[in-house]
Amino acid sequence: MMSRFDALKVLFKYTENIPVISSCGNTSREWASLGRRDNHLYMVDTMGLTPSVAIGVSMALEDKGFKKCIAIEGDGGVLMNPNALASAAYLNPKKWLLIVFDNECFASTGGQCSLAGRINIAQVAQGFNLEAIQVEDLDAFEHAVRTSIEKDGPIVIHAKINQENQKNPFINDDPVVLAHKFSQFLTQ
Amino acid sequence: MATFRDLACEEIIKGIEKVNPDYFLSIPCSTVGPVIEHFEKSDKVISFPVSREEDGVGIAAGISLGGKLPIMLIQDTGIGNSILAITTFVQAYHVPMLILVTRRGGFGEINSAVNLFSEPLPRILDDAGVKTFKLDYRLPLKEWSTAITQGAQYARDTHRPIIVMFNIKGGAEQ
Repeated sequence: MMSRFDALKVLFKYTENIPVISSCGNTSREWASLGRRDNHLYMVDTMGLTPSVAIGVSMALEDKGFKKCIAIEGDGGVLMNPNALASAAYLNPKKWLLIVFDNECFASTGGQCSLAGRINIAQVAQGFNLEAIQVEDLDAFEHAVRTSIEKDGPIVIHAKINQENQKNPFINDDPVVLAHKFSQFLTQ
Repeated sequence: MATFRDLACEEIIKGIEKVNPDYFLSIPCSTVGPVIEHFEKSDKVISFPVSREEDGVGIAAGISLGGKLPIMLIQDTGIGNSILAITTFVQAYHVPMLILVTRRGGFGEINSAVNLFSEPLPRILDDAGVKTFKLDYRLPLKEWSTAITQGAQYARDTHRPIIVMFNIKGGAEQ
């Protein structure tokens, strides 16, 4: 099974000019370690909100040239705020792409089990009438990312990953700076 | 004869239209039903319901970061569902946003539990540092629309969430 870090490296290749919002904890730390870009918004808290924020960004960017707005969230975060799946289904934001890294645990807090061990998140997304692609290896993940960027959403990529974590420094930036860079990138 | 509620809803509609938002997000509320119905029919603003206030705050924040103007209308109980998102995202990241909030609890409230959250809510918001303006019978209704436009401008000028909270049941201070 692939690691989150290997999957993020693949995603990094295809998102130089695509807004990407990453969830708090290890996901944002690993994502930032690949290279900071102004098209990245790193969430430092508010677990589970990333997909919701990406819905709003996707709607605001409908008439702009960006192909997508990508949200990266974990299984724990998605199950903390499944309301975002309902909103995505209802609002049908064509530029919304949610990538769920599912390791069936809360890796950032020590690997405690999440509910995802008994819940198939792709099926949950499909239950909300969302297109969902389930992948378990790096080649399938890369293919899903490449094809999803080129087609209308909303789309959910449900990527099963192992529980490996990279050691990276905390993101303790002033959130105001993080938001300012991201917003300038979106609206310039 | 028009009730206080009817007149208040007219003023709230007028205020929102003066702000001219791109998006109007709401959670159903009987007291401001006419406001929601008005914007559902509007062809000038994109209106949609959200399933939970926390999700709505996230969506509105994304809209704001993307350079468009949202307004969200919720009941005060919804602050309980969204205060983490309001503080650790919208406030921390300096995202301008106007949230209109209808008061529950107080005279005229028939629900036997909601007062336990609605009555202490102003103190909770004060302690959380979320700037809140309160409109009730003490501010002439004709000033309410101006207060809403000023709230939207203040959110932009001070780069943060601003709550404008109104008691449209009339009667004493809650």
